[in-house]
Amino acid sequence: MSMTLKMRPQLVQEMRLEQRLRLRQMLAHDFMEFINIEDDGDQELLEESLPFLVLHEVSHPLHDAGYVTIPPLRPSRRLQEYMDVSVSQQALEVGIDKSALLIGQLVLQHSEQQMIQAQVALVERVYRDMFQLEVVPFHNKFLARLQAELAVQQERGLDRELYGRLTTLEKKIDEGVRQQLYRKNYGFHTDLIHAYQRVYRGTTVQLPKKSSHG
Amino acid sequence: MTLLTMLELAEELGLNQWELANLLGQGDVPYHHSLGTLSVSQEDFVEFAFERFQSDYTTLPRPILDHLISFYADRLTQDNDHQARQRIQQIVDLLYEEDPGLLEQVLGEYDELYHELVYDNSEELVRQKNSGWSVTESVRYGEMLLVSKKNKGQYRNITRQARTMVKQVSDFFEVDLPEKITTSKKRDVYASIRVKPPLRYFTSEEEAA
Repeated sequence: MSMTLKMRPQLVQEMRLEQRLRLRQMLAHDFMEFINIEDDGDQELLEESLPFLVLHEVSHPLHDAGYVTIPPLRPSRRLQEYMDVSVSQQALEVGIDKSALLIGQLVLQHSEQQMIQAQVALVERVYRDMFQLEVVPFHNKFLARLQAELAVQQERGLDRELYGRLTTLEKKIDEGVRQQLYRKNYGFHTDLIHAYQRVYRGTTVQLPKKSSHG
Repeated sequence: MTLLTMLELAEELGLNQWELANLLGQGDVPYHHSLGTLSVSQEDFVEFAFERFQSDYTTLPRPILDHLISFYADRLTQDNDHQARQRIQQIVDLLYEEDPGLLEQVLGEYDELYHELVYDNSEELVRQKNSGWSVTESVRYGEMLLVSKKNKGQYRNITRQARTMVKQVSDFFEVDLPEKITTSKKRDVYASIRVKPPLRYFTSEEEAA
């Protein structure tokens, strides 16, 4: 009746599946196709980007509960022609990304630099998968969101290494996007980046009213 | 239905007969009388142990928890028993919420035992591997675990960190996080996790090369 050799690891697998399912539930779904939480080779990235992945996901219910204020998207006249649901959806996610950055500092006492680094690590993976390996389809609105965030983040007094990493990444993504889009669409893309930057800058997190957290 | 004598069951569980009798006396396990020997059905005992685990897992001795998991794992692997799968998930769920340390201990000990058996003590498996046909089921799992073992501690640490972050934010804002996912979503995630490329195993010739 005791468990045979073959059965023990199978049970371990079952239990691990359950644990990983739980972990996956806590991580930002937007980025889950870029990181394989089962792959030991991805553990370093998972560890580096963990604060962003977790805090992005918890920001959604906090936004629903009214703690996160995301300003409305104000599209340019040219951009208004291209407005659709995914543009608005990404605008919401821009605010959620900003919320993750703020909550990391406010609640977890991470530095702004740590939080930005957590996101940059993930965006590097996005670049790799979308442009170098081409295993994930090109998604210009998703990229406009990330470009907008990188542009604002590079103004934030980062150390030289992270600043270099971030600006190199931004440049590479911009080149990749230019190659994919026609001239007219690139103009739209630039407007979208600017509109998302305004959302990112304007997003705030309110402290709980009866909180003694200061 | 498998009948076990009290003596066999006690041995299986690593308890003495008095401890077992005491434990059974607290539940409602039907005994069978056969040719003068007291017996209890395996299924009845497991049901009793599972109910005990659910009502208060801290009162279930560790050998019984191991026994319980072993029983369901056997059912799962031999018959792909749906109920056994559910029960294992219930055990993991409960321990995950109530005592993640114990869950990790259970996971860890199964790994340790397995490695000890396969890599240190099993002459038969070493012989098989050296003779070039190392693709037995046991060795496959062993190879897989050997790879994952290296990063196992790091992975657990990541899970713990994520859980701590969620708790800190929940406490700060006094909001329950994260929201529960639906059953169908859970199933989808399971499906996506299960789709994995097959592992490649080296034969001893390749290893030598």
